[in-house]
Amino acid sequence: MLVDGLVFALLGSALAIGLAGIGSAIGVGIAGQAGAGVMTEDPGKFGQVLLLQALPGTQGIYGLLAGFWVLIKLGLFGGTPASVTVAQGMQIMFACLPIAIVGLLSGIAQGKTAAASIGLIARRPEETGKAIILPAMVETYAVLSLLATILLLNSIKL
Amino acid sequence: MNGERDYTYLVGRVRVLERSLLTPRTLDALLRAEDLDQALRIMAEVPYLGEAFQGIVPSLQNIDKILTEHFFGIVSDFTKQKGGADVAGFFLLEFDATALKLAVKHFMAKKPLEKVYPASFDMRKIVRFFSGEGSEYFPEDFAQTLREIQELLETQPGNAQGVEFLCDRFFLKGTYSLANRLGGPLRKWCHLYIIFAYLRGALRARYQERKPDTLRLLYFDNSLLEERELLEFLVISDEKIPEYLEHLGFAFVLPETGIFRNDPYYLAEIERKMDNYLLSSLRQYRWEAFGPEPVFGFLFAKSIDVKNLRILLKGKYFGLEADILRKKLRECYYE
Amino acid sequence: MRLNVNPNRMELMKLRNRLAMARRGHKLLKDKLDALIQDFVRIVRENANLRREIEREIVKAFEAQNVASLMLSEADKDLVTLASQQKLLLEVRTRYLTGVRVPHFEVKVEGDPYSYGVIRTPAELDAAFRSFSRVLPLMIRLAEVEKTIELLAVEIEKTRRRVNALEYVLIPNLEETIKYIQLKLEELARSAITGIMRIKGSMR
Repeated sequence: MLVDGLVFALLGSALAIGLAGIGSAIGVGIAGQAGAGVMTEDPGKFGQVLLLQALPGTQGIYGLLAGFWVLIKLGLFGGTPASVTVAQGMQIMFACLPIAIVGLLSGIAQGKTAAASIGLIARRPEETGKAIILPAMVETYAVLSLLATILLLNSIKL
Repeated sequence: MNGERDYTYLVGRVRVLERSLLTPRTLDALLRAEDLDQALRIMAEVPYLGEAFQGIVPSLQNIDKILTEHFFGIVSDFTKQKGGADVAGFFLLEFDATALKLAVKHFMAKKPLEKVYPASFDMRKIVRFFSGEGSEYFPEDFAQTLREIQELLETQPGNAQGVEFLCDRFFLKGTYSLANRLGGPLRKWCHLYIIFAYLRGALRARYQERKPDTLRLLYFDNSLLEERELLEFLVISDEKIPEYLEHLGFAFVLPETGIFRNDPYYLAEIERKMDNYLLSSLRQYRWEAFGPEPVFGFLFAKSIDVKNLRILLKGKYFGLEADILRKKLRECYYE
Repeated sequence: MRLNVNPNRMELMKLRNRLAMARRGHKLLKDKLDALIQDFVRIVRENANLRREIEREIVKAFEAQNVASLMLSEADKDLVTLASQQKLLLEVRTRYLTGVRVPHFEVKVEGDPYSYGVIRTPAELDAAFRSFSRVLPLMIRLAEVEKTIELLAVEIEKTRRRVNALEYVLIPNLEETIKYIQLKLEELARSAITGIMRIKGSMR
């Protein structure tokens, strides 16, 4: 049985999905609170607020993507699971870390920026476009970390 | 990290409500208004505040009622929200101190409580407490103030100002403990507020030729200002005041550098300067997206706005000249 | 106008007495009138000064009150006016001024007008309260002075009427009547003499 390697690989996948998911949840939560505050006074802002609140949600999706990538690579969706050594398992786990860590932190950071932007559209509805760009900038680093994770995963030979 | 996120919801609300704050432009337009009707028409266009002014009977009572209800509504609503109890607590405390004074004074004047004043407690409870009917439950610091007032009235019945001093002390004491709960820049702000309150209180007591025993009622033990330092104001001469303020580090509250006049209009200038200083020290936090500061800043700006609007609308009602009104106006939160 | 009396010596004596009395009374009343007018002028002058002083102080008071009330909410206003710690004792007495009963108010003010807090009230309030508490005793004094003027005026009017009545009616009437009686008596005397002379002549 070569379970040992698989454990590490699955841990990596779980971290990617879990941490990035937590980051997104917190981020969406923050933006949601700000949005709720704005909509208490001005319910007409629902459209813009929803858009901004959804932005920090992407990290979770990226994490899930990275997690599935690992599972596919391991062949856990049908067929026979690939045999993974301890070293390979740890490689996969480390490859997952970029999206896990960056997803967690950038999710929170993006949530805060989104909350601030929600404040901005509350005061200046005409600046909605610019307000969306600001939190979207944070997205760049989530995308980059996803890219890094995928490249790293691809470079691992099973 | 977690603490400052408690205020996200309130900051969101504040961002919208900030549009109801007055700008220097609105103030100017109000100053230029020919009469109260025109001023009220300008007010009716202010977002989130204007609806209340639409089609009202222009009487002093109505205007005051709208302003008070508007501000008290925001404050009492904010207190109920997550993280709001402390931020809005300062302002609720102001209302409560006034209501407490009113209740005691109604009891002193043997007048029934007819009007309803904004407060977080039932004022009739206070009157019942002083008439000795039934035993009501009060929070500890509140109960202590009530006992102090009772003691004072036993030894000096009719000392209405003493009662007010004790109530003000309750308010300042509450602010002091609130400062520790809020922490950060707001802690400093609250401390500044307390010191300012003591300074102007001492200068006013000086004008009214109060005895140290009366002014002592206002003092509670704190690390900001010693009792001795407060009472010193009553004995030193007019010429020494600027020097003494310099020594305490607050010479900047004097409208004219190094000059003090024992004149109510000059003291009023000092009060205005203090208000402006307090507001400007909050201004730097107004764009922060997190933390209690922008919420607090908004509420304080709102209280200044209420002051300004009272000056302007009442001034227009009385038909006072724009120049007189301009001299009394406080600065705006937003330029 | 001559009085309707019998022209005899008895009446003449009575009338002479009355005239002397009337002259004395006239002189006394005239002196009283002078004294009253003197008092009147003095008090009118005091009244003018008081009014000026009150006007000056009350303008100050209202100016300060206007400005202070700009910053007071309705609750604050109730608070400031609710329980005053100032006691005003007013004692009403009467005194005599050249024989005229005039009122005299004695005001005693206990405590001071500042019965409100000093932290959250505008400072102009102090100016307003100080001016108002200065004006109040002056106003009471003004009331006293105005009533005195009114009473003095009535008294002056009355006295003047009496003086005039004496001077232009009673005294001339008395004088005229006395003169008439004297003439009448002289005539009687003369007719008595001529009667005697005629008797004397017829006897010769």
